[in-house]
Amino acid sequence: MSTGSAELVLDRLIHEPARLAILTVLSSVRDADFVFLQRTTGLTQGNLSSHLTKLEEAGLVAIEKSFVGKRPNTNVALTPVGKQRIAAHWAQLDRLKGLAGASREA
Amino acid sequence: MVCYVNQFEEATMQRRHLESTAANYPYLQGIWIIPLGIGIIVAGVSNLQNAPSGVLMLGIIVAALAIAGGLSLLIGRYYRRHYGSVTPTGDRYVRQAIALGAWIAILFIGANQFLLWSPDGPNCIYASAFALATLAYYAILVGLRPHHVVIWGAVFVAGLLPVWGGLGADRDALAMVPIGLALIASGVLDQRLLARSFEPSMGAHPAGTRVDG
Repeated sequence: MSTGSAELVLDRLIHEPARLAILTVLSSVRDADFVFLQRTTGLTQGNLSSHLTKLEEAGLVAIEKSFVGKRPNTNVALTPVGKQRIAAHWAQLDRLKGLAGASREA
Repeated sequence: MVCYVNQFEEATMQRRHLESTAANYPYLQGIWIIPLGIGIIVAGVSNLQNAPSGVLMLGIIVAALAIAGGLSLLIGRYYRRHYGSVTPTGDRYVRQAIALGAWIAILFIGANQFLLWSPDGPNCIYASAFALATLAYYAILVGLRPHHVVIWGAVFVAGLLPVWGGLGADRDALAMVPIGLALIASGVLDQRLLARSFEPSMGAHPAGTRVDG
């Protein structure tokens, strides 16, 4: 999606709905485990895994795998770059919302 | 353009929902306070007339700690397996410390001041102070919800009613019964709120628009 202005182009990697949901959840906590992300986003295990891999490859999240007792546990946290990119993305969406509202009133 | 505005409105709402679900999750785990409520009722009932003897009291404390430990393991496991776990941000820890400080200040400093002024009054300042302290705790930590106001508002008013003087029992011990019941009700409704915040209608499509990537 674009408004025609180079400054208002959305980050396609982040704007995909599932990834935007994952990053939004992570922006409100220090870290979250796989089960929590699955419950809040409603994604299947496979889908969530695939999106997390893409986000990790882009350097937006850090994934740490460990064991809690005998159960495997995957913890995910935003990287500093991820924090910056998700905040910028929401700021961009807010700007677009403002522009769309102004155009409607005009 | 109207369509875009609606999509952005929806995106903003879903953003708030996701952020609030994640940030409030550790503090709306209501099952934790149900055993606490039961414990307070038991403590109140067992202290209505005379406090139990030293050995019996020690036995009660040891048994209560053992039960609390066992329940903590079970409740912690339930939340980890059903909802997962998060580590709150530093800001949230600070807010929790402030909420706890306010709770202690209102209950122990505020209530003691009132009790010194009116030690044999017909009302129960302890119950009202506990309710007020809990309202402040929730207000600071997660924001007051309607059920918090109704439940703890009722306990606050009940404590101020001039009916506690001639009951023939320790009024503070008696007050632990409605306080325990309020904790249980509050815990059940917090848990309901938490479960509803995880319902699948929200979350998977927060932007309202789809962009492949």
